[in-house]
Amino acid sequence: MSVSVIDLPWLREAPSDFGARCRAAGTAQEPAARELQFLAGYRLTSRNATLLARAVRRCRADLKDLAPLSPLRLGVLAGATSDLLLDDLVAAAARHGVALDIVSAPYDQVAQQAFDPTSLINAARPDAILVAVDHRWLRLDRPVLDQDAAQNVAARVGQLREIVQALRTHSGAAAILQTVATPPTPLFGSLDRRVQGSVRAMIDEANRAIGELAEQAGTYLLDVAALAEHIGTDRWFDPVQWAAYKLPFSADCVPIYADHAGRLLGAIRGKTRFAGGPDPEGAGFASNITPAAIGTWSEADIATTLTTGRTPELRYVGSSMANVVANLAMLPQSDRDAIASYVKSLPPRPTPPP
Amino acid sequence: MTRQELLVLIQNILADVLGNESLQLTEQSTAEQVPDWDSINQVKLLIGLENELNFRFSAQDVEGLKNVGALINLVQRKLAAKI
Repeated sequence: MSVSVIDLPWLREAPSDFGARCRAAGTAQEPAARELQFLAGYRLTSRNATLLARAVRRCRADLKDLAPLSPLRLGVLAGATSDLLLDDLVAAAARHGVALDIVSAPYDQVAQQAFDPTSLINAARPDAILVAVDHRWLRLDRPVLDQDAAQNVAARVGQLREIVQALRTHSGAAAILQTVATPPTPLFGSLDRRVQGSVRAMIDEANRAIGELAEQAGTYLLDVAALAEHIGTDRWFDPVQWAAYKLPFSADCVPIYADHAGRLLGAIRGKTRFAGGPDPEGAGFASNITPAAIGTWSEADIATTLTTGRTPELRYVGSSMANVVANLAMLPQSDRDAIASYVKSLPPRPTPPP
Repeated sequence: MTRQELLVLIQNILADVLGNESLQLTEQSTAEQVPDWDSINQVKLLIGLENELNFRFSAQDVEGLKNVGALINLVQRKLAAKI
């Protein structure tokens, strides 16, 4: 049996009473936030995410204490149907330590919302604004063979730059930009790599420019292109659901997209940095290296582990960490001591649910 | 699946989507008769059915569905096409 990242295989399957527990969350003695985050740690279908998101909204409306979840108001601007993402985003954010409050703009109102100082999004004063646009919104969905393709890409990313600046000016919030997934339908086959105006070549250039824009403008970046490649773009895109519902990508991919976005939101709130998570290089789970997990280790213990791979519990690190140790062991001792000192200085953060 | 089983499945999915535990549907029920059953919730219902029953609707399939009974007819056709 093959296991795909799309199924969030590192999460536990939701129990049959998931809906009932969502409906009960916040009504019992147990702190609401703890139960919400626990429920968010399950593998959720979009239907389950809707139940959990409703519980989060109800607890907020009832003024329940949502600590230690960090509140974050997120504006969402999308060039396609985003309504189906919202509940999944709330659920995934709770998984990563964030109590998300979403303000969503109407369908395909990206520029209008950004440039109008009194727009719904700007007036909401969000903490961050997700600018969820894809190759279609950027007009990179058709080859440009009769004019300057580079100019076309520059113009489209330039528009994105103006939107980011307008949002910063009018709302005070930093944007979360997305890279753009490349549809799996070549025009000239392998030649697409060499033709400047092919969809693939223009998206490659746009993603480079979006990364540069994120650096220059100090925005966050959600690497949707990398996620779609990981899953497989044939599975990421669903032309039928685009035609039927204007979904920017397959509904099957909404939970994994939301998990990646939730992870980023957790990082924005500093909830999960160095606290462990799924190993991005493959199967497994990277360990928490904050004092919440290794608080009993001394600086010398950490430096020894970085040199020999041996932990104070007399175990040896494995997986990709073994390769890291093999490389770190070649550094000067003073460098390993400096790393150990830094790791020891990290604040304790709980491990996010696997 | 029988028509009654499909009616219960549609009712359960829509109840979750709308947050209305007491929702009761019949084959004659229409979106206009059910509060908050708007176009977005219609899409959520259709995708919920796709996920539960492991098929895909086409854009043509979902145009002009008059009531729950018409949706049940459509789902039965999609399930028969899978066999």
